[in-house]
Amino acid sequence: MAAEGQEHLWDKEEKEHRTYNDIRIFTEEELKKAAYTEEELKAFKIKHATPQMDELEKGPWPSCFSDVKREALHRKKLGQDNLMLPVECCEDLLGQVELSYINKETHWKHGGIIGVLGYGGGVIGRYSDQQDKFPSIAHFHTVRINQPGGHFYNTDYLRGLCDICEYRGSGIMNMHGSTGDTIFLGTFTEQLEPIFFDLTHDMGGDIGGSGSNLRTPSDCLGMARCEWACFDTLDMCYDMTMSFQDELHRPAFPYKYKFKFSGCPNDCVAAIARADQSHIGTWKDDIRIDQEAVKEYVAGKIPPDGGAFAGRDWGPFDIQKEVIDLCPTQCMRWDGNKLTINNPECTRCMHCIDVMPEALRPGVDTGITLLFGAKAPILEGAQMSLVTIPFMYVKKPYDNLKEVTRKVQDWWMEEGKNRERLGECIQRFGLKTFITDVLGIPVMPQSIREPRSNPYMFFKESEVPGGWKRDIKDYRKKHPL
Amino acid sequence: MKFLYNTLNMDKSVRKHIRELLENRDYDRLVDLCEADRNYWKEVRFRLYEIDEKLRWPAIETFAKIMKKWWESGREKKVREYIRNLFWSINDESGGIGWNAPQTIAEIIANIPVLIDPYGSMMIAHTIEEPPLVKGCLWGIGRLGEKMAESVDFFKEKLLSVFQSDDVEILGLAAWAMGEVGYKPAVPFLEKLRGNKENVSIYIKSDFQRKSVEQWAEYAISTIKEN
Repeated sequence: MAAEGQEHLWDKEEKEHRTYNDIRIFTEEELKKAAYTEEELKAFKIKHATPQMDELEKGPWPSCFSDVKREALHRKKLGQDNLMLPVECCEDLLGQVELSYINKETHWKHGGIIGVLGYGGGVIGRYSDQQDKFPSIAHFHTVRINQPGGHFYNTDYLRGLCDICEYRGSGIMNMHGSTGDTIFLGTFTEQLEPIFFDLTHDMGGDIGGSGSNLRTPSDCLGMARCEWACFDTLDMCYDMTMSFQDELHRPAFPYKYKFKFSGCPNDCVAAIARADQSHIGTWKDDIRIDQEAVKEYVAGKIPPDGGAFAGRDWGPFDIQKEVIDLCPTQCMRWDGNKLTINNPECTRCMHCIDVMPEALRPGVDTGITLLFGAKAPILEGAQMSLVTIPFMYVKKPYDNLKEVTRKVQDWWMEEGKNRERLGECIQRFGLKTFITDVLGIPVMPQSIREPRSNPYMFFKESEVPGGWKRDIKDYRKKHPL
Repeated sequence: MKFLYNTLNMDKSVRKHIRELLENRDYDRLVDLCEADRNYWKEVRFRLYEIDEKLRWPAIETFAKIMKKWWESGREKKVREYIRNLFWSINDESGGIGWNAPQTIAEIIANIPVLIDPYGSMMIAHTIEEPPLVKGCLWGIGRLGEKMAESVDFFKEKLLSVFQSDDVEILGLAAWAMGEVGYKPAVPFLEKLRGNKENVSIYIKSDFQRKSVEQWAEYAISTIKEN
């Protein structure tokens, strides 16, 4: 628990808050017995010969092989009576991976439909195709667990998760999957419902998303720790998660749909690259400048980049070279005494703020930029999210955001093909359809980079101030058929 | 279809309303509301994952009735898209499971019989080897009965192997389904179920019927012999 006087509000206010001692599976005595020394680990040999995997332990890097071997020893010391899965499952896993290295192909069968009752996602079925050789990993299902916002765990919660994973699974966890979830790697079908029960009833947690549903929303740590957060990512992520529970657990989408929340344009959760719906904090007013602090950076009194450039002599800080010249819109000027920014030209790249955090800060009139359509290569190539609503004020209960979200999801559910991400659907119908027909937003020239060369964007006369007159005969004089 | 966009409170009221209508099996009202307001249609789709059988089965029936209405009004393409979506939910490689997709597909075929080809045999092909979906597959076969005879024969070995299951619900459903199809090769397997006194409930004609596995088997044997 937290140090005295520094208890988290959660500990004080949450009624019937459970500690690890309330939810633990293994007793202190059992865990003490299962503890091993480094000598024991060195002497420990798994039951399969793994010469190729042994190579992974050489060199200076952390090795997943070493981690799994540790867990194999821990399981052995815990004993089969204390485990629901075969004690040797980690050893069999390493044996199968070794075989895959030899054969140069996977020995996991493709897919397998599996899940917990009432939920249409959250578990990914996996079976070994070498069940005779490696019976203890005949099933090796992955369970996705909805992670706490910003990945803020306390040790009670972490230890509780570890107990469930070790008792009802292989004991191997992935912190975290690329979507952000906590992942239990490897369990049998019979353990899925008990894991679900323990997780929801004892831990107060939930399973995450997989399949054609809303994937587990993820966020940066936001205002809890970061001075640049332009909105409360933790609150919005939690609120949206709770509001879209059906979408998260009861798949009705054509394919996956991801929410990601980044508090500022640094975009620490890479929302712009990965989320179908990216929420990125921004500001409307001017970047706040502390001119005195700028001078201190220039004078070398404050280390740039928060002191990140260390370990060798990087030379004196050159504001012209390292900030002004790198501004993508060239909207900054340093006259040797004063820094000026042409704020309307700023594209929120955050570079100047990142380099001189004590001198520059985001503005105070804050909200989000809403972007849609990022994805990895699936039917089409990778796409970044597209700025669709440049600025939106966001305030709990976020009704304006939910309204836009439902419009987009409803359209995609109606028009999207199976396995077609939102971004691909927008491409197929055209940006114009998405912006004007689906969202009801007037098209702006800023929506596209080069209006005159973009063949997919057509403006109506009524959409352009002043309109235009077009005479086809006049046009044909210059452009004959 | 009219699009209405609402706050969370509106969602809750739609959810509550849908639950009441499903519990009361007010299918006409449900179909009308789903036609008028997308939120209701979405809610019916979510209820396909419902654990409470009193809500789940009416949701499956409502889904099928909506498909029938669309089909009859010329929206055949849309109906096929939703059926493909149900198949996708039991074929998704990224960790999804359409728990009640086979039942829903069968109920749609029962409402739109022309869809038996190809979706009837596809329903069996996609589910018979997936343990969590076998019960739904068997229910679907039973729901469609004799119309599935050809497909059942095509999947003979896989289907008859379910009689080796330890799960009494699978045994009861298999017995009932084989009886509804009138599938003679199943008789020796049905005879082996004599003596199994465990009870199994099956949703038939919008109601739950509860019998022992033995009774389901006897009923099936007599139905097959009558045919």
